[in-house]
Amino acid sequence: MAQARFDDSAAAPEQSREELRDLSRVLQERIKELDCLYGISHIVENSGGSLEYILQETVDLLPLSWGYPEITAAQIVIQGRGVTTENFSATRWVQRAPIFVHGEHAGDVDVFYLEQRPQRDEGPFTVDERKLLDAVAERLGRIVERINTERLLKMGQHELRDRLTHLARVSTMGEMASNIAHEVNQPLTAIGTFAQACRRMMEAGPAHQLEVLNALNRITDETQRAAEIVRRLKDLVRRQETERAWCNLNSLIRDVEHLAAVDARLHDTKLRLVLTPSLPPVLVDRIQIQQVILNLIRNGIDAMQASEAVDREVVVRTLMRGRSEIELSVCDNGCGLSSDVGSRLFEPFFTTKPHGVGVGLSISQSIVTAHHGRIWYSQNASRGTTFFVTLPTVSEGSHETA
Amino acid sequence: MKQHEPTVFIVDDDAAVRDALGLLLRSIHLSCELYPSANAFLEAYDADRPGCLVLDVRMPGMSGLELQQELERLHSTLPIIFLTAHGDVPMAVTAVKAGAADFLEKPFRDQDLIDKIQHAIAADTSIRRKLEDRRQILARIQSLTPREREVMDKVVDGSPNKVIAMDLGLSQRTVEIHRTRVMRKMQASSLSQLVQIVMSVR
Repeated sequence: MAQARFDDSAAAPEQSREELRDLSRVLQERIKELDCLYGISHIVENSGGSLEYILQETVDLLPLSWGYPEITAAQIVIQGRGVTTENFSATRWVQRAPIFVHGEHAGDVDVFYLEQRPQRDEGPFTVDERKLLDAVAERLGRIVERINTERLLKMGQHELRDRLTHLARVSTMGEMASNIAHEVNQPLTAIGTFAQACRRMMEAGPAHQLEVLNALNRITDETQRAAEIVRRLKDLVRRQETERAWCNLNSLIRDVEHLAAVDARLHDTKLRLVLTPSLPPVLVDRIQIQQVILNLIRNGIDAMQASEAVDREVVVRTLMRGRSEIELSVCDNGCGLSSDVGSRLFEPFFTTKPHGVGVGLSISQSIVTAHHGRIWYSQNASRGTTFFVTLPTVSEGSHETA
Repeated sequence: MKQHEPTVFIVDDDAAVRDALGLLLRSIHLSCELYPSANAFLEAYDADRPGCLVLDVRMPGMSGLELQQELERLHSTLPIIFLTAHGDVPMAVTAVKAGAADFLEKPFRDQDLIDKIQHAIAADTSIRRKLEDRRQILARIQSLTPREREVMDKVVDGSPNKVIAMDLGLSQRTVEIHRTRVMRKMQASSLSQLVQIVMSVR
């Protein structure tokens, strides 16, 4: 009751001076508390999400808000991690507050006096210091909760992207299945026919031994050819988890070429590789980058179906861009892109193909971005479109986090 | 005119399939020639050479169906056996509607292919014989004088010598002389044979 207090102070100035001192002390405590909590906010803002940083900065900030900063040490232990001030040593003059994360006791924040000090409200500590410590513990709990949630969310996103990427890959393979079946059918036909010729020659007598031997060798070759097609297909479909390794981009392209060539041949399109030799390696998920390359080549082939071009050609190039980037380009001489289509190209589920799902380019973009690269397209001066992908090469001494 | 032995012309862009087919046909002593593309075949194409064509439907560049159209344009009668992959049946139907002799799905049984090839070669031989006969008859007709031609036409139409003599203002004797020459030049031993020969090219 402000009115009553005002009357009291008017009546007794001695008492009033006393109260003023108290008030100013309370105010000072409040300021210390605010300073401390504001400091923590500031630390969180600058932390970039690193819990380690937040804990260390906070523990260093704590002593300044206690009664005797020069003999105050602090320690925060949470989720198995512990940080302390530099002068830390455990004494019996300790004030402790529990940290709760999602309702569970996950750690503590402790403030120690390294020397004995006069008895106050709680050992040598004051009620205000207790309040501040509880507030700090409360604050740390919320911070840990938020960081955990963010991390979970991010992990979920990664996993979602990986799954979608895999799904797109499998769906691409589905679209290619009939062409691949045709491709496997060729060696099967050759194998069957060679074998039947062998039987007839052997039935005719021993005169054709050399020819039979030769045919048997061809059968072996064709078996490997069929197996190779199946292997490449299986490679692309199988793995779902991502795994980065140092790869030569050119050899990734050559691997994909075998599958893409099936499509190219059936669509009467020439597939030409212009690869710059001895490129530095890139740290990539092999399968995912192959998926991007395959996708771009197939888009190129598709782009030319609508056009009357007689000299349909997709050219895949690699070259160095500056000293730290490899550029991959896939160039077609097809119908090009209207600006309307171009602006929506990387949108998920946007497609111009009658049977397309429309995830190819958006997934390609997310793969390339996850590899710290860029993907874009430009219209060719003459005809068609070129898609560009850049990937960083990592020079020695720099650090790359996958 | 030199006589050719029937040849199986194989056109397939897949080297292994091509070579295997060649070996199979050689193993049964059929002469064959291998071509990696429709264009390569067209360059070597000689209408006088008998046999049949074994043609892959799907090929880069000129497809099997396009080669069929091109041969049609050249009035080729070479029988075509199309090789198709599974699922290419609509293409095969188109090919057969356009006059292909037959089609076979890859991979195939050797005996099926050989049967189809032998059937096609037989058909080709018979077509060629008919064409050759027709060519010879036309050449014989060409060798007649205009008067002989007039006489022959009337003979074939069933006019007796007296009527022909009157129609053409000739003596019966002269008509008989022309008629004898016609029979000799046309290599006919009887009136009915002459009628048959002339009707076969009308």
